[in-house]
Amino acid sequence: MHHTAPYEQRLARTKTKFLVSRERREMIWGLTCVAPALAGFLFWQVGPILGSLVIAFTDWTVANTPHWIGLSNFQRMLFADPLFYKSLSVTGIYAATGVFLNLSFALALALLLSQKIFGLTFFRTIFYLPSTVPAIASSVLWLWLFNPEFGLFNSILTGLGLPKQQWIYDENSVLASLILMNLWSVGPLMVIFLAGLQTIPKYLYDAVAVDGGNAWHKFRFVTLPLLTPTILFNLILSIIDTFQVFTQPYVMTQGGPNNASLLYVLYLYRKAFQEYDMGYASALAWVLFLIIALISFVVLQTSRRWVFYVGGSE
Amino acid sequence: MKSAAALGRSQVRAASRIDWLSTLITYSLCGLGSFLMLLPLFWLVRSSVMTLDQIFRFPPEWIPAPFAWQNYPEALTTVPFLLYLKNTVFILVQTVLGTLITATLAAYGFSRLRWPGRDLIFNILLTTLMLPYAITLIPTFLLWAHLGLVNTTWPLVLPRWCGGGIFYIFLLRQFFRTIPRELDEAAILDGANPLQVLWHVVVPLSRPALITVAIFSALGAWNDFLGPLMYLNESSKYTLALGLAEFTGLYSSQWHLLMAASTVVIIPVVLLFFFAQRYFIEGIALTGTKG
Amino acid sequence: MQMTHERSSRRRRPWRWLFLFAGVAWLNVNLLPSGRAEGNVAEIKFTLWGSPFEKQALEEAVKSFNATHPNIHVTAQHTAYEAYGEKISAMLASGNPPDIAYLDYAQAFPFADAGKLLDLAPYFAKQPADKSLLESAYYHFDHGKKVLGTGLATGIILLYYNKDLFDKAGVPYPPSKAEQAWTWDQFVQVAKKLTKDKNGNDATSSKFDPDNIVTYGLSLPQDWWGYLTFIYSNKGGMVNEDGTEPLINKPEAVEVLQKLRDAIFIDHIAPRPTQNKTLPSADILMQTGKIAMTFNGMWRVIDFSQLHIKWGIGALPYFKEPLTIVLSVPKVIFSATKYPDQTFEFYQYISDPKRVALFKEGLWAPLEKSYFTDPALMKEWLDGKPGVYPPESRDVIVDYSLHHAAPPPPQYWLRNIDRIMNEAITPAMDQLWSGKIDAQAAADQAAEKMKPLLQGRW
Repeated sequence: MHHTAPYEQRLARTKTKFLVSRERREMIWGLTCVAPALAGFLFWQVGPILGSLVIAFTDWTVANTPHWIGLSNFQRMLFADPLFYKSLSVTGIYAATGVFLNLSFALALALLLSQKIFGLTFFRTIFYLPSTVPAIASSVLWLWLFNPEFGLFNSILTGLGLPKQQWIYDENSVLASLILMNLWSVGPLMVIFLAGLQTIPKYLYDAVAVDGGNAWHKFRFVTLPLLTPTILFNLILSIIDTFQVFTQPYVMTQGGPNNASLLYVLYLYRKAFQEYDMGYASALAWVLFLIIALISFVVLQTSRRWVFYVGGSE
Repeated sequence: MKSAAALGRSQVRAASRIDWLSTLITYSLCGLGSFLMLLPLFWLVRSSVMTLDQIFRFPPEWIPAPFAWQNYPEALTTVPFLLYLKNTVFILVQTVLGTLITATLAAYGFSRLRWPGRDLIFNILLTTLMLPYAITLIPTFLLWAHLGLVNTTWPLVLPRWCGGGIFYIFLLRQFFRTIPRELDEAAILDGANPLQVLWHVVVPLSRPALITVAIFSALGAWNDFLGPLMYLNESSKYTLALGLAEFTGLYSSQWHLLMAASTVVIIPVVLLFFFAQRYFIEGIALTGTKG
Repeated sequence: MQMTHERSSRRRRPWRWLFLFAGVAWLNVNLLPSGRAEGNVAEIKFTLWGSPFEKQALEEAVKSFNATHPNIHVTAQHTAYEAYGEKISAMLASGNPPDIAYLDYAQAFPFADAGKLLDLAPYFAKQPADKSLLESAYYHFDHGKKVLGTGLATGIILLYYNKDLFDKAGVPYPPSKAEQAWTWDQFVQVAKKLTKDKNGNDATSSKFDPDNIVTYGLSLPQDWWGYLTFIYSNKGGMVNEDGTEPLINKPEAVEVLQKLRDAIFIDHIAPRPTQNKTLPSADILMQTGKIAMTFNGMWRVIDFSQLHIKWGIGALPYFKEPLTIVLSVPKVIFSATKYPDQTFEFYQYISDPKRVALFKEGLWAPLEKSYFTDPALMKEWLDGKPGVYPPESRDVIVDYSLHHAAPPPPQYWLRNIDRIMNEAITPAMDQLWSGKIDAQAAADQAAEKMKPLLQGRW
């Protein structure tokens, strides 16, 4: 910032001169830039979403002519459906633990892999690799690994002289097993953290070093604050993702044993595509939507206190 | 009494010992992590060169004896692999291009250009991520059916040309916001219009994020199962992800072939990531210069 | 609404995008094959799921049907089972269902009830008498007045066993005739002799180590037919005939459930069934010497016939009377079809063992009664491809299907079956198989949760 004064002056002059026209121009440019996305949003999101909202107030089963039944679906959910509460609590536990562990693990990996070490490319690829495995193959793979009689995990445990576990086949360990499995594919979160880490200017670290700071200081006073926008992004994304986890429990546990892994979207899916209770399923979806939106809103509101934007908060 | 020089030397030695130690720790963590990450993958690849009964022997065989290499030719001929590959690449290329172009534009419009209602509209957009797909599936399908575009690739690519998905816009927007605003202002004072600012200032500084978006959208298209399944009716239009599902049946499945086919499907993605990820490192140098 | 959005989005889009779109549009629009629709060719869409093998066999049948029926053109559309429900419901919701389809029983009834499926009763009534089907083939609804379809084939539950392991243990093979079938207790004794720990002791030995079992005598299926077959054999049931009262917690059912539970936790002859839901499948377990016997569907003959071991099929053990359950996935015709007669012609074609290879290859058993009574037809089916059906099939498959079939399971007639299974039966069975509670407690829990879900029969 060697030319601060002239820059400020020039800026001030320009601002007064072009204020009105520049604002208008910026608006037109802004709208043009977001136009394709907005069009797509109106077309493929708004319509179907409103559609699902309407369906939530009907008894549509795909096959029948839908009737308007008011709030019945919601009443049934809140007052006459123990599985709704069951799935909600299962999902809550899964999401709370999963989000925390996924973020911490991904951040730890990203920090590890932003060190300048030989073979970085290989390690990054290795850590990202698991998330490239198609869901259908990874579910099957983990079923094998978890299998109490024939699986690798128990074979390793036996080799170490430890007792065999039931993994996904026991009410008490099924959620933990699914969370463990999910940790395996934190590659995308890690990549976003890595990309975030690269935007942190190097001179800030140099400044800490000059002041005699150690690695912890660098992390605490540079990395962490400057990474907060990325953390916020990953946090919101993880919340949305873990609340909606579906494929693996669907293939691996079908919600069992004894509904211990009956995650919300799995239950919703069962209502929608196995029992064809589309109206009820849509009502379930909207309740989930409200829950996620509420949590995200709270996170976004509090984020103003802990997220730090270099480019200003605009 | 130690001389000043000796003191300096011992400090250097201590520092290099710490360096040496931290490198060791880094490597052992990387090594341990890699082992844990690779173990299931090793299991996948191992199973891909085994016969069905070899896979389920107990105690498990770590190294197949003998190797069942014939799984690969068998897997690649059981489903028309090349045709599915061609179909997948066709969708993938459009997905990546469409997403990169339109999501970048949108993220730019939502982060660095000021216009009334901007943040409100963005937040509304963001909420669409929160509704489970299972529930918009049918209404969305009805929309495409109404347009008569079922059994074409339109439903799979057109949304990608329209923002690419709010996830990517959110990702890019979040990164664009970390770029110092003075850079834009300087460029604008030099007479650049917003598109030029985007192209010459924002995009070069956001290479890591853009590469991330490219990789994610490519991987999304590569592994997307439900989209092609819903919208493509003829097997001549099927993608690789659908091809993989053909190996599993209701009661019996050809797991060994599924594993072989999956291995083949993973390889291009791994290569893509391997070569693309060096741009994350380059990011440092670029942002580092400004200061 | 939709039109306005489309127009406004077009207006906003800069011109250059239009060119790009025009380019990709040209590439993306692959219109439906339309050439054949003209003239008087009936276009018929057939959706199915199934293994690559099943898919291939049916596609060949479609090809030969199209070749011999110039006025009908059938298109087979194979969809992965995992998302078949989504696909079918989307097609139905958009007013464009297939003409003929595989359909899960839990979906078939509500669809039929809403008038979306063609009542096939009049069509079957017109069939010649010598073409009549086994009574177990039909999915009746509207209290027996209508037929929503038949199963794909006749599927019965039977006993598969590994002959090598029997020889090694010096135990006689399971009988194949119903009259000689083992009682459950006799069966458990045999299974104990076949169950070996890592020191080679069998489960009857005092030195037997149940924590290190190398070979199990039995593998229990997790599916409902795995226990319901024996509950029927003990003259019990899941619900009463009206579908209003649970029977699952009555002594007949509880006795069976307890015996099955004991097989795992007391006799140590079987691993927990929760583990073998998908993998590894029973045939592979048998080939690797991990299990000696299993109860499974007749449709697995095709898989066992490809094993490199000596295997056989036998009569199921019984409680009060020897019997088996008959079950199959319904095959339906949607009422929206423009060509009901032609579709029914194809419907019959793919039920015909002469036309579809899956019968002689061991996936499907015929629906037509004559294949179970006429020796010439029986030979055509069972000996059509040597090495597929073992010689005892005439007793185990034919005789059982004809004379020892249990009454149709609730899946063929009970309303709300999906929720009853998902919300009442399966969670209780999960706990039973985990060994945490006994059969009476599990059954009581299931019955309690069933009560509010029972809505009678279709």
